[in-house]
Amino acid sequence: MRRPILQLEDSPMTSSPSHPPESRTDGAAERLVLDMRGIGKRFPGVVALDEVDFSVRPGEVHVLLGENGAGKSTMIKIISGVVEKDTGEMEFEGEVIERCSPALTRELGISVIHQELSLVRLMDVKSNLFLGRDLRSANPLLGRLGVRDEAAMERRCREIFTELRIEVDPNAEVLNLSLSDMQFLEIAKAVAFDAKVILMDEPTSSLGPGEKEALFEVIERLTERGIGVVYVSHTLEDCLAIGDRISVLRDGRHVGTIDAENTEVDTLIRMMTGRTFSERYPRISGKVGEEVLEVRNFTTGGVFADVSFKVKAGEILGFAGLVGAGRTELFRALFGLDRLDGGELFIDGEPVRIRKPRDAIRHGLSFLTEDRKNQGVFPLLSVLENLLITLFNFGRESRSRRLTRLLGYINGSGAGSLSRDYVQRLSIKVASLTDQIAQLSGGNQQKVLLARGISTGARIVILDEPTKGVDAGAKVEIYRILEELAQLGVAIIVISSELPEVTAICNRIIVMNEGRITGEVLREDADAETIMRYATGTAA
Amino acid sequence: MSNEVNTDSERGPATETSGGYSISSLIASGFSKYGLNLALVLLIVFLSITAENFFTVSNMMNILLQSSNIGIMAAGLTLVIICAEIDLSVASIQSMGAVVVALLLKEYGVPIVPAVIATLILGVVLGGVSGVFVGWFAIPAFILTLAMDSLARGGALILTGEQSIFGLPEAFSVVGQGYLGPFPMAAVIMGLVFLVAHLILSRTVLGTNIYAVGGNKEAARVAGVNVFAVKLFVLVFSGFCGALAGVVMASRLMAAQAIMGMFDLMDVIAAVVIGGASLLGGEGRVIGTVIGTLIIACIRNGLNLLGIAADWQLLAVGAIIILAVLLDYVGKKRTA
Repeated sequence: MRRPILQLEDSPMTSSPSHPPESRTDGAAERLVLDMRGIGKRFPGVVALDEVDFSVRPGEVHVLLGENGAGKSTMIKIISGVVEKDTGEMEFEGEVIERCSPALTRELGISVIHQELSLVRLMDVKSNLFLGRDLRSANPLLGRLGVRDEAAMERRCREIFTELRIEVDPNAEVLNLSLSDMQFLEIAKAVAFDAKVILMDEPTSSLGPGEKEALFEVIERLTERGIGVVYVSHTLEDCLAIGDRISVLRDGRHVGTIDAENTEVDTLIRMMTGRTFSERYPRISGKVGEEVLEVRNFTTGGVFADVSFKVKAGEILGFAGLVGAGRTELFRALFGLDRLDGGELFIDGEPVRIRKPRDAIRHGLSFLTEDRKNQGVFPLLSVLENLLITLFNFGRESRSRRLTRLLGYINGSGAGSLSRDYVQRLSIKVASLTDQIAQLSGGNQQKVLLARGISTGARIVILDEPTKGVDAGAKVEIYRILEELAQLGVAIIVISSELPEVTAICNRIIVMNEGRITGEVLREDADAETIMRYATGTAA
Repeated sequence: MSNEVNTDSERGPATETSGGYSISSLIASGFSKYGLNLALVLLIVFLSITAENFFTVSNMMNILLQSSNIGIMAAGLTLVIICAEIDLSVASIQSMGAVVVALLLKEYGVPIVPAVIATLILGVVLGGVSGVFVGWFAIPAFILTLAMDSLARGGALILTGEQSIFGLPEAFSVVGQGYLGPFPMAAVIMGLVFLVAHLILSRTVLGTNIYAVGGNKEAARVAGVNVFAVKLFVLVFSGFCGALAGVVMASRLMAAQAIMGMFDLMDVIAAVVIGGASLLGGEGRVIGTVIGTLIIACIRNGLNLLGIAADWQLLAVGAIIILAVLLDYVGKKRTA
């Protein structure tokens, strides 16, 4: 099988594991820092966890895997004390834990690094490290008055950073740090709290590949200190690279726990879903026709420069690159969401000016943003309203489709039947169209947004990270929808940081680095190595 | 509120939703605020026991009449608040409206219908000015409508020179003092405004857009919603409601003065917030505001009947708002 991500091959962890799992299978391995047996949890209407066993040894990385909704989050919440288990036993360092609260578990030595970082952005690094537990002045009077010992805090901060080999200035303001440095700070915070177990929930979701490696090295430092790491991620390759043991959950049940060594991605996928790699990333293609969109010399100062490309009907064009390469910004500007300093746009060979999203939609474009929560869904509105809102707002069209009558009065039955149509065609799982969209899983929300985008009959569909935070099953369904659109002659542009995704589903891949196009490859010639070389700007 | 309404098991399967779309949304709007209804009932029971003459038909009609101008403005403000904006100028636009309609009738001898229409147009224009600044130039509505409040109040004072205007044509009293069957005409107007606001919010694209812009402005832009038009509309509607409330008040009192209704803004915001609209936007229903308006009116009326002075009433209303918001907060926390 081809390794889908380049950096795994030369990753230090896979080639020379510093702590091979078999070395701990002797007597010492029985020492568990965290031991959970038969954990069960029900929520109204769902069994979230059913008889799940999970344990953490000191100094190991234990990966928790599962599709969205498999019960990972519930598991994390139980470990971190946010949610109480219904059944089962939980022991921490040999002591049975009965009741839980986040404060108590942190006191015990369990720290969580959340997807949304919990740092005070306006304070400096060392203050964040000791947040709530500032080191006080040695002078008894000043200490009692709450005067902080800045020097001691800085010293201790440097010690921890040095030990973890983190290069961050203790006096820097947090808001000036990169996302990955913020994450390191979170980890250092857990170490400063003397954590025995650190939970990391999707820690790489906002990191570029280079930063990912640095994170993995820090994780290695943690395990050297004997800290047990619980690692949750959707990126299987990462899990294999960093993990010692891997536990897989499916539908709230514990499918199994295996050693990461000698395990293939395919094995994990099958454990999670019953699907293989090629089933996970199907090759899709459309009927390539006439050229529909041409971008000439798009430039916005400091963001992207001199970008030109063309897309044909039925073509699936991928945009690869590292986080911050300017891909999202380029298409936001194209869609009229952000400023565009210069450049020309042609649709069907005609010059077109797009000043705002409404212009773009009128010209047959649709844009699925990468930030589903903040720029996609209306969480309090129903599935139906979320699906049809764009169509509703283009009066003549919504009238002709019998969605609205005079004065924008919504025709309930027309709107209901059209949205039912989409729900069926895109197999969106929803109990009722009047349910709030926030109740749907990530994958189904994404499908609703996809339906919204194509509801206006868009001929050019731009998708920014279309499968971000979507489980493997729904991913494949989204690919199938894209294929169907491409067969219908819709031009599709996919911005994706997931290399196996772009190499599988795109006919052609354009790679960007620092706001410029650095390379273009056809699917036939696309391999991860070439793309990464273009993406990092190191191509010859 | 969201958590109470949506338990999948109560909703029909996807095939029955076209009917469910209208009916269930009505049920949701009517009964999701069960606690609020209960508060109103308890308040009425309490006042019926303690205050003689409270629970009589004529006093109930009186409450409707007294609440009419507050209710009309609250209907407008509900849309503004759901859109995640605020209009602090409604009460002053009300005074401006009252003064202008009175002046047109008395000083300039304009016939009633054109005078009323001209006043309403003035409200639309004032709301439109706020709307353009807020929607187009993205100036925070809080500060802009605060300025508009000062402009409208100042304008009304300049127009009247702090004098009351009396002696309006007798026929004009129909609006504020007339009856349609057993119902005061002013209350009927309030009911119509509530109905229009409800229909806009629950049945039209504009309503969906108001919730969308209030709930997630960025997503609304991406989805092709004309965010400027939506913000302009809610502030124009609010200005219109302010001027209409002014006409109703001038007609009820058959007089106008620039400082009348000085404290109404408080009651209007209270009615909307007690009614469950979130000041963060994206959430709220007209039916809630109706109940909020009635709660405020019952409190005012009951305190009057109990012989409590106006100064103390202000205190009471303030305390009740804090209580309502607190209950809402506790309730939300429990269901979350």
